[in-house]
Amino acid sequence: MRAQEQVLLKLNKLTKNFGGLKAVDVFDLDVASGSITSLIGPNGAGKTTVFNLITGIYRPEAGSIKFDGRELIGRQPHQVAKAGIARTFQTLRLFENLTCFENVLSGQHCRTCSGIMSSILGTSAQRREEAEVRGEAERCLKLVDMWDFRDELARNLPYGYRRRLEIARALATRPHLLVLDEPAGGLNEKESADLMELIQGIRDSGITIFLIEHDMQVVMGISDWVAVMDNGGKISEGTPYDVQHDARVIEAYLGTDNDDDLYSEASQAAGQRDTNVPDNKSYIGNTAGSAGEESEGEDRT
Amino acid sequence: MAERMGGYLSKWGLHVIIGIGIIFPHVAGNYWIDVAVFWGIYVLLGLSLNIIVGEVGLFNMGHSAFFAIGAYTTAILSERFGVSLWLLLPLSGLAAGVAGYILAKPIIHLRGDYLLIVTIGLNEIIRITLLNNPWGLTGGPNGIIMLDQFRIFGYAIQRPIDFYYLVWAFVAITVFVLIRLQRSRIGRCWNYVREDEIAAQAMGIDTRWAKVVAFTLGAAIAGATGTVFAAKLVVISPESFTFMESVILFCIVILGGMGSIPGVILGSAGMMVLPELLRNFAQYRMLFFGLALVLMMIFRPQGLWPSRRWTTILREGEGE
Repeated sequence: MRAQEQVLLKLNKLTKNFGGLKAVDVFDLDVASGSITSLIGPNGAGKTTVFNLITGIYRPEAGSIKFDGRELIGRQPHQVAKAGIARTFQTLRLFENLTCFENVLSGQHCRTCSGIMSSILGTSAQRREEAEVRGEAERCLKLVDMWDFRDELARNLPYGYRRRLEIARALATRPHLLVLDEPAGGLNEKESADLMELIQGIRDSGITIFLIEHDMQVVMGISDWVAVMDNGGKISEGTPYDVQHDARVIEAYLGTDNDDDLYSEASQAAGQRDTNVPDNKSYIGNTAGSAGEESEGEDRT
Repeated sequence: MAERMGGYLSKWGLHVIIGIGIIFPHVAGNYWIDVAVFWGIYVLLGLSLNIIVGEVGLFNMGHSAFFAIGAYTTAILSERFGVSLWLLLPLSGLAAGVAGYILAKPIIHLRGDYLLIVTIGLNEIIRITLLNNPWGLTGGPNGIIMLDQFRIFGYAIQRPIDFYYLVWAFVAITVFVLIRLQRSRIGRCWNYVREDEIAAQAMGIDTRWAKVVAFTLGAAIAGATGTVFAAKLVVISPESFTFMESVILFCIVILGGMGSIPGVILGSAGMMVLPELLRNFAQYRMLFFGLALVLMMIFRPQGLWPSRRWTTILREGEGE
């Protein structure tokens, strides 16, 4: 069934190192057109790094990213957005001192073309474009049910609305693929449920969705396809049902009995040393976390 | 235009201010008219720097370099080749704009204080170059004496009152242009870059392009102002374009409120007119001035007239 679907985004042998750490290690993934695909994994597995590679914030050491058949590697973030991939950020990045309406208008920038002279002269083409841009921003704000907040500064919004505003802003770029980095992070149950509905609505309007999420209720509830990452590589993928029952996934999240046995055997053999042996898995997880997940491209320049 | 200023002032308030502006030189003495002329010149410079510092958030503390390039372009071409000042106005703007573009390209990726330091260096390089009289062009520390004036059908604009109207007409045109830009796709993208560069990129904005355009445009307006300044001052010398001048311009933008056009007008009044009012206090003048700045930063750090966000209600012209 999956083989027949059209692939919108194809990640092929993607690799990214931070110093000696392999944040993303020969990672393959296909995102089917019109699907909701989720990427899950323990903290520090390299999920956000994958997103930053797709959106051009990082450059991979190896591999390719094909979007709609075109290679994305080497493109600047703004070119990726123009190509039709919009994103949200794990740590929200709204334009805090601008109104919600202005925030959403930003998405239209790459779809419009009026320059300095036409803006100064107020040519008819420029006026027409402005009217279109405002109409589109209005549509996006209404889609996330935030039209009443249009004149409110982004920094004054409650948290749940900030998340929705970021989605509206991303939608305003008229993307083919919407990349959401933990959209349900910090939301309560009611807000999460609303968000799931919103995401499904966006998918139904024809936009493919690729998301990272920790809230398993959200992931399993809306995804058509789930990929699981650990230590930079893909350990499993399939329908939500398949993934939930995959032994490797359970191992990555919870560890196994087997693991514990090995660990206790090893510690017995080592005698006194056992207090100094760190839990291998969480140790790797933490380092990858500090290098890959949190930086969000901040120190790029 | 009045309607577009609606975000800042009521139409009525704007008309009153314009009326006062027109009557003012007929009741004031030449001294105060001259103060108003220099105020207008600093408004122009403040507005040009406001594009760079206020709208895009690039810390440029070497702005008088571009002002100098414009003034010297005017003085040299006018004295050597007798080019008309009306033609030199766009030419000086072009010269400063090109210089701004070339200088900005390699340094525009720098952030905050790093960019600030480089622009200070830039200012000094330009000033010292002018002092050194390259190819005998700039006249070294003595500068250049430029005798030509703006002429309308042979009538030379040189009386303070004529100059007053000329300068403030330029201010009006510049304000009109900048308001149009603020309300456009270009002005908005500058604000996005200022607020969050990474988010702006993710929204498809070429932030590097946006910053270079702002820097070039700011430099060009400063350059064109240089022509007005040269016509007013007659003698153009390097001491008019020191680092201190750049600091004053920077203060105008910060004092008035970053990104705010009325803020710049008020800020330049604070920096230019206030010291004149305090002239009676002679040597204590700078002390008062410093105190005023410190108090401002404590009680009103957002500036005298902070930029207001433009709401959809105003946008649709439903209210003022």
